[in-house]
Amino acid sequence: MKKKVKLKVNVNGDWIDKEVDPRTTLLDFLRDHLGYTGTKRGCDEGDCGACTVLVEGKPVNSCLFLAAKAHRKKVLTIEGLQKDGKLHPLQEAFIQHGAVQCGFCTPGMILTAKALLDQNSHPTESEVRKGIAGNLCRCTGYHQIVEAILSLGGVHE
Amino acid sequence: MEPLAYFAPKSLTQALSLLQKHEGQGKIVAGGTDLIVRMKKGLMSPRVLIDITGIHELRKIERDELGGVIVGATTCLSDIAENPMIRATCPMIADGVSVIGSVQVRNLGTIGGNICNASPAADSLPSLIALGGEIKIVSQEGTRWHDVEHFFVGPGQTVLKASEIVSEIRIPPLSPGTRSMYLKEGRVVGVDLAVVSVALALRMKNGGLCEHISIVLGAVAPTPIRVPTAESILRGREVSTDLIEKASHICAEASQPITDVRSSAEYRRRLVRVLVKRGLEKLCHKESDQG
Repeated sequence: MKKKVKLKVNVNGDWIDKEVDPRTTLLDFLRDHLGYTGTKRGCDEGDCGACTVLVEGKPVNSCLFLAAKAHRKKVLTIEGLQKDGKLHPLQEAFIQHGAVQCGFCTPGMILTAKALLDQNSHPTESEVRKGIAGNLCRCTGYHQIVEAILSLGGVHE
Repeated sequence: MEPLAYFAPKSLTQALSLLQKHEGQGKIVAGGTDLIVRMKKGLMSPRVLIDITGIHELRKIERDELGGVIVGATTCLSDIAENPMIRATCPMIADGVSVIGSVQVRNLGTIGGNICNASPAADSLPSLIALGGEIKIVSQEGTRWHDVEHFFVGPGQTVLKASEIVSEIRIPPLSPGTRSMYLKEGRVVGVDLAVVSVALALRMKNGGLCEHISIVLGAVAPTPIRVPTAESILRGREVSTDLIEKASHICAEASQPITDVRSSAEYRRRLVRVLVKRGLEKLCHKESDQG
């Protein structure tokens, strides 16, 4: 039986070679093997979206994603979003709009919003609400989060 | 999770020989959105995972020579939901798929996985059944086709044998003038499993008589079910308010819902009547899909 799986994965721009147990999820790999703890473990069964990362630009639940599946793929976590010490416009917008309370959902929420805006630069409010339906926030009631995302080119209805 | 071995074959032939080599222990995984949760909870403990998402030939959406749409088994749900050809030719398929889970789940989950997981509440199934979808099944012995309607045996159970892999789904071309609709009620407006789902496909003759009708119910029986007794009272007749009332009543009677965390059986049965009625009324006034 093959015990370990060889993995070559690009995380936030760096190619990393590791061997992992095939049971390792991408969430475990990012947090425990690489120390990227910005990716949060919430429900651990694909319902809450706190573990959302972008794989090849698309948001996925890293808790449902075996690390082995990320072989030769590009993964973006919240740590990879800032550039040259400057926060990403979405991160700035979340701060400006008070869209962060406890902060646990924020990394996943911002990455989901990034993928949404990359695909649709002028989303309507209902498109934003539908787009972030897989990211649960138990503090804000979503209003400030939706406003923050809409402030970057969105369309109020 | 129990210890396991992981293989990512690059071809269907490799995948089939791995299945044979690890007879009885090999488990096919695609998106993993159902399987990984079950493995974490200890409900399933496969020893060997065969990940088929690296097989290029299984990821495609194309037309066949007869005008049907072929969807490769590992095509992810979001690719299907957003595909212009599917939106144009069989929109009900996109409508069903687009309400499965969240965008994160749809980016991972696959059409083959949603079918093989065989949940009675799976959102892709009622539409596929209503449009006469077919499943291509391959094994080392050869290839066979099976209609989606009779693929399911019970919750989580299908006619698929341990040596077989679902490779494609085919949606036959719709006759011109077909109108279709997928209706789903969950507990919340956001991401949720269906409490009841209904897929309808209707075609009228010029004179206003019902030429073709499919009525499929989800989440109210051990498998998604067609309701031929309700279809037959509409077929060949003018679809009147009275007949719609009768058909929706028959559907409620034909359903065998259970009471669970999402709903009581009584509520589900009542919802079947309401959704079938609502859907048929809307379909009578809806424009036809582009066949």
